[in-house]
Amino acid sequence: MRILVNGEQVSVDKSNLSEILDQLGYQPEDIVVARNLEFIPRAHWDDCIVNEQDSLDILAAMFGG
Amino acid sequence: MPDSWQVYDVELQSRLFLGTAQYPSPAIMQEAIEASGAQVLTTSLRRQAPNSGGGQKWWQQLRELSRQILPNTAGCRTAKEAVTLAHMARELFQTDWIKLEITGDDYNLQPNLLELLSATEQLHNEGFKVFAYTTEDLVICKRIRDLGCQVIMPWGAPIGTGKGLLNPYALKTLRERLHDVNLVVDAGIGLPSHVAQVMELGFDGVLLNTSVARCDDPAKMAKAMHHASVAGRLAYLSGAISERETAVASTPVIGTPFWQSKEN
Repeated sequence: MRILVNGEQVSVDKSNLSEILDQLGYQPEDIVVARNLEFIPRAHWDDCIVNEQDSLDILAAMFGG
Repeated sequence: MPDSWQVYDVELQSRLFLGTAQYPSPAIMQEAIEASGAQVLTTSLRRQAPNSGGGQKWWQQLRELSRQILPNTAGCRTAKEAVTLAHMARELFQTDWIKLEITGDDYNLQPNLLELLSATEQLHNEGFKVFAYTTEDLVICKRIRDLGCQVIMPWGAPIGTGKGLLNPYALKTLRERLHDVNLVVDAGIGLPSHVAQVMELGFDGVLLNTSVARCDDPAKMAKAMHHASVAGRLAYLSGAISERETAVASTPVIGTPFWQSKEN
């Protein structure tokens, strides 16, 4: 299915968030995730179902002012 | 003379908060942090590409410095975005401190105060310790205080401009009217004299980034900013004299040499 990952169209063949992150090559300990602008705590990734055209924002620590 | 202050549940000695962006290198950033004496460092979150490693090495370096981390919500334009990002920051940085920034204008990066009030209320009710980045508007700052926020951060000037305090009258008024919250000037600082001016007004602290990170010698400037914060704070505590319109001799006039009584 097609989903948005950080604003870009991506094809994935999983629907579980944990599996999608693994498929995309993310290191779970380094990131946090929002789905459709809702924060998904890491503890809920295994239970989180991602649907067609859902939008994932996958963020990491960065410099800031 | 110890001059510690309480910021939510943390006692601090330094009155400088330092940003971590724009340094030429992580090593120079670390030198600047150490020279500044800052105990609070600001960070942010950005989209991460897979397998990039992103800023993980940098983040590990920052963790090893054992400073209090203050994540920001820079780049957010609505309360909804800022609240979501605050939750993400809490999980990533393991802190409930959040520097709440919501941009309302792209030209001067002026905060959107209506969205700020909404997000402050939501986050405070959810247990976050909010540091609200705002303008110097007294009514808005009072409202932020009334929502339970204990740290209000009015701008000195737009972010990154280095212009110093554009409206010292309003900032002075804020300090006079808001005794029961921490006031920290955030943004617009360019020189140590600006920091000293903030502290002389009785503000509790200063947050800066660009003026240190983008100068020729960040560690040296960070040290200058530290000294300025100490000098300004001491001046405030000393009870400075009031300005006068006319000259008053500082040297005693009694017994002035060569003085002669003259008849008119």
